[in-house]
Amino acid sequence: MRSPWSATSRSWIPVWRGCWPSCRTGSPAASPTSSIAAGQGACRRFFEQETGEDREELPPLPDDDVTGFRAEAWRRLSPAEFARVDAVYGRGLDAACRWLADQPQERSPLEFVPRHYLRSLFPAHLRPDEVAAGVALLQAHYPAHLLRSLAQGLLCVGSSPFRASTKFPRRWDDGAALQRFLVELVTASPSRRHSIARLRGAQAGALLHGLLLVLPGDLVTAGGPGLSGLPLTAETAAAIRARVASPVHAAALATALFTGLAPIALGEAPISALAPDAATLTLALHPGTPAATICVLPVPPAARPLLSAARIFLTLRGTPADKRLLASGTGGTAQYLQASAAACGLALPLHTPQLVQSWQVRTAAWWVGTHLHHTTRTPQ
Amino acid sequence: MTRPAPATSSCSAVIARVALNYPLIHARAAELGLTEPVFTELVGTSLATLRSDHSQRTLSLTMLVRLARLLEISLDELVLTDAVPAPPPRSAGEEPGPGADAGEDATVVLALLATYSGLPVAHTLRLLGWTRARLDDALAGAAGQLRATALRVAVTDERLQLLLRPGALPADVRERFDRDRVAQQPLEPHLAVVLLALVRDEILAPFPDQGDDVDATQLHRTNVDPALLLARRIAVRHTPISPDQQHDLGLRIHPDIMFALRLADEPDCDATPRVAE
Repeated sequence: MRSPWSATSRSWIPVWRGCWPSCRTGSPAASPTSSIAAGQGACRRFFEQETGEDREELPPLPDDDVTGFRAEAWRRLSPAEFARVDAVYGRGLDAACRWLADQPQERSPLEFVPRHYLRSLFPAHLRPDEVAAGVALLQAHYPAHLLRSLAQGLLCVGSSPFRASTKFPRRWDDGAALQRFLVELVTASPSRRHSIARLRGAQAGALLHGLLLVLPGDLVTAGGPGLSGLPLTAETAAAIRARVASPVHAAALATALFTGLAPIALGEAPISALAPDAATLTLALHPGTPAATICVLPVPPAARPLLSAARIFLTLRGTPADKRLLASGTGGTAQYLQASAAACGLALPLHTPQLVQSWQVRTAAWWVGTHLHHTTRTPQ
Repeated sequence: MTRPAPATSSCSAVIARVALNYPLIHARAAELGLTEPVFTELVGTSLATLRSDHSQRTLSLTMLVRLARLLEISLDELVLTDAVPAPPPRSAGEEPGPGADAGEDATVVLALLATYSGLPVAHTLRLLGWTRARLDDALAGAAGQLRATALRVAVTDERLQLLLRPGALPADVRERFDRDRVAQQPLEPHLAVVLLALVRDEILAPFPDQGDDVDATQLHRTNVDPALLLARRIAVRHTPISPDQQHDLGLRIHPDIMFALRLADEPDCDATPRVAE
């Protein structure tokens, strides 16, 4: 097989080096939003850069996962079509690089491997807090010298610095941040194909930083923000504000549009699910279960005033924070929501999955190696 | 329990045309001395209106019962249909006559096999209430029905299974679809570890003095089957494995992955050629 880089003494090396600058976002020209709070900066920058994006429908895309997506697109599409898809893919890749540059774990993955020698006794997929609990339990029941000799005898701890210091794969333990990043990446995208191209690009960008983003295999049909959800622009928000008097009805309509999720399920969200700055809705998938089972729904900037107004309206009426935020604007059978949409001349998403079926809830991430390149951190 | 009709007749039954028996209605109305206004008042609609509804979609069950009572006829007499009447139900243990219902039995078996990917023979006999002889007849009928298709029924002493006929799916076509299916599978974390290691190897290949680097891949320490890496298009063969190269898996990263990471200008050029502009 002819390799594209083997013919002429590793001709890919310049290409690889050439990639780096595009992912470096620390230059003043590429960081216009230095005042944005940490943790949300990367994607808000991404939203602001979207103005120049090609918003025409993209050609049909391959169903391949990240490993083959770009190559298959290159093979199946004409050069002009591929260039359009690749531009969107590149946005996803760059966004992932920027996001990971702001993640403390990316700066030095090795630092986050627990140094305790007993770490090797536990399966790799356990979270650090779970491992810490296990270590504490062992230490409480056995003397230190016994534990040390046991670990050394069974697991050869200390004989391989490589294995002891870098044990991959290791689970990414901030599911909320992952959901927030991925959804913000696609919430404003003009079509499902744009979203898929961005997500594949983000997977590639994350791999360059040693992080595997595992996305659902059914992105072509899955629902949720950016897939079944619609982009909520400032114009749409203005239309809602002009034609729907009730703040709660307006917020319910905006939320149904940008999430693309089942309106009745969204109606269950309590007032407290909305972040103080109205930038995120965080819903418990199964109330009473651990925090990991949550659905994070970043609110597009244009929709934030609507949701914020609904909260203020309910608070002024004396509604407690644990009561529902959007239910009275949705209706038991979504009848109020449909009436609001009709009044605004807006079409609600047709395919509206339940929260647990939303694509971003079914994502996961794993550290699978150290980073292949460094991205300069964004100045705070 | 009514047994399902054979495929051909059940299909026609589903799309059967239904109409009111207008000659009988006229005759009974005349016998009973019902004038048009009286008929309209008692039924709720005129006969002309009913006739104008060619598909009879507006006919409700209530109206049918009202008509039948008014005209003192049964519902069977009131409605005409071109559907084939269903055969009388047969008890579970009853055996068919010679040649009778063999096609029906075959259809039932095929439907079951299509619904459930495989069926234990004893379980099937028990649930259907059939003898082994009847099942064998049904399987023979099913084999006949499937003769012109890509499918066959595989029968062992224990199990029935609907399978592809050998040679029905050309190997190259199957390989193409298998590869496509594999390409859609999300990458598993343990494979991604190797993937990243191979990428690093490729990048560092021009700089071989990296022996003490803890980031070195040390692929030979992984337990991943090289065949899996090749099948998942994560790696390609680099050099043949020889006895003196046991530490070397003879693999290198697949060009498509370097292309995905924007570390190469082009993907694997030996795969499907690129479409023209």
